[in-house]
Amino acid sequence: MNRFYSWLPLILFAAPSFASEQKQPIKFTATPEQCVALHKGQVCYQDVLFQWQTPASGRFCLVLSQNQQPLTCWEGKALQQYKYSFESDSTTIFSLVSQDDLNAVAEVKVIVTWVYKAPKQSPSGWRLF
Amino acid sequence: MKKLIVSLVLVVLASIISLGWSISEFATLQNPDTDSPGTSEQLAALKLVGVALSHTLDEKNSIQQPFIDNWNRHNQQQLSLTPEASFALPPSLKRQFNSEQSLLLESDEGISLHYLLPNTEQVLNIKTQLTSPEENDFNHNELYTMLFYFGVVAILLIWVSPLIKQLLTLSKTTQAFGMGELQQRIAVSKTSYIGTIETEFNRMADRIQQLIDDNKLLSRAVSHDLKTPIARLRFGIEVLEETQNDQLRLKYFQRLNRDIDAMEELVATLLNYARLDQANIQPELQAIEINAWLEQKLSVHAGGNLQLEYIPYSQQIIVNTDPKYLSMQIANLLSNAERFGQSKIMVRVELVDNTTWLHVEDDGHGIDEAETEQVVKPFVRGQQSRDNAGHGMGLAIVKRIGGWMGAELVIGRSLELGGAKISLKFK
Repeated sequence: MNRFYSWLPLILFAAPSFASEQKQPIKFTATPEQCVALHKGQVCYQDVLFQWQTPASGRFCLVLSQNQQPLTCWEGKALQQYKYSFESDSTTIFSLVSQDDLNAVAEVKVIVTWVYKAPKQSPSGWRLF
Repeated sequence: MKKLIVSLVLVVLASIISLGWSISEFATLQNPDTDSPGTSEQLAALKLVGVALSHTLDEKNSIQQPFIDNWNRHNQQQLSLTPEASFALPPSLKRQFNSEQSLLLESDEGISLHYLLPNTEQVLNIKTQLTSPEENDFNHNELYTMLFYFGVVAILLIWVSPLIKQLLTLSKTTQAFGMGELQQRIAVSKTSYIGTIETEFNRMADRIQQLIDDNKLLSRAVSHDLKTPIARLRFGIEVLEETQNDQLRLKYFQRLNRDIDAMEELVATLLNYARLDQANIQPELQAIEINAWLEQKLSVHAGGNLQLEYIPYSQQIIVNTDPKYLSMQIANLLSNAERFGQSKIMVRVELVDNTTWLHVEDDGHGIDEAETEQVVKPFVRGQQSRDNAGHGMGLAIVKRIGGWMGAELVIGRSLELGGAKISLKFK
């Protein structure tokens, strides 16, 4: 959760800026969009393919929002997909950042899920005998 | 001890039952589960819907997308279809999904249901905003359970605190007693858990103190009463050494003998008194008719210088006593009366308010009220008996026997004869 809050200012700051500047939103997808773990809290491993359509001009980077670490960078349409070995125990946001103004122009969320286990509730309620 | 065990069991049972009941009531008040369906109920309902939807949508050439769009517009639960190939799962989970055709996943954003559509080779996803209720409820349950156990502990502590206090008092008092503060006693309250122990301690302390007091008194008295004959013996022997006259020597020898006799008598009296210690005696109590018994005793006893008058009670009175020790008491009382009386002794049996009294009265000087407490102590002689023979043991013996046989000694003044009136009050 703390990680999420650390991205929050960035998202709040970035969201309105690219909405107003870029009329045509950039298509940015991750396949698959979720990573399935067997248990909650387990690190989830998944090869994720990122695909995008960036404008012809400008320099862009694919950034792991959590720590602002660029995974790869390119000029214009030189690169349109990237295969990434995802590993994390929590939902992670990836964003395309324009290097001209350091604004996130698009972002995608890879959701970490786990197998749902119904909580064991004793019929007697609160008593843990 | 019985009280302690019973109250312990009661307190434990009562606290468990009452705490358990009240926490249960409180928990049901706090969690009105019955009003709105919980997560598990909603999930169960969604599962049914999901199965139905998956069958409906799993048809080739059916118009799926408009239906899904429509559904998503009107419902909180969002439907979507993904190709089976891009629904990535770990191998073990994949096998399970293929066989069960359904899967429940959970993420930070909520629980989602997934159904395999074998015909169209797609996966139906139903995203919900439900979250696992586990943590919240678990915390509550933990809290209630802690509350319960702490409550039981608190109640037990409250219950046990007087016991701890009593034990501390007992320990402090025994310590002080052991250090020589013989007057230390425990104030026994009716509600005390260890009342019997406290009472027994007090009795023990009483007894030890009495023994020590007796010991002191006896040693003081013995040393005092032995000093006189010993001094006389020493003087007598010195005189004997210097005397050549056979007749005088004979006379002095007789005197020495008398002194030795006096010492012997004192030792015998002491031994008698010591033997009357309750620990060494098992009185054989039996029911006797006091009028007839006393008459027979007095007829044997008669023979003193004074006139003895016996007034029995008009009715028969049965008294539970040991005749051997009762006659010892009466003999002592009679010898006292003979020693101090002028001319007459009166023995009287009386029944007042269902209590039997035996009075021995004389026409001597009597015992002053201020002296009554002193004269019953061993080796204490009253004002009137300073020049009298005897060691002051008579009343002490009577009182000691009366103490454990249930015949209390009461000292008063005779209205008819004017002298002492010494009475035994039978229980």
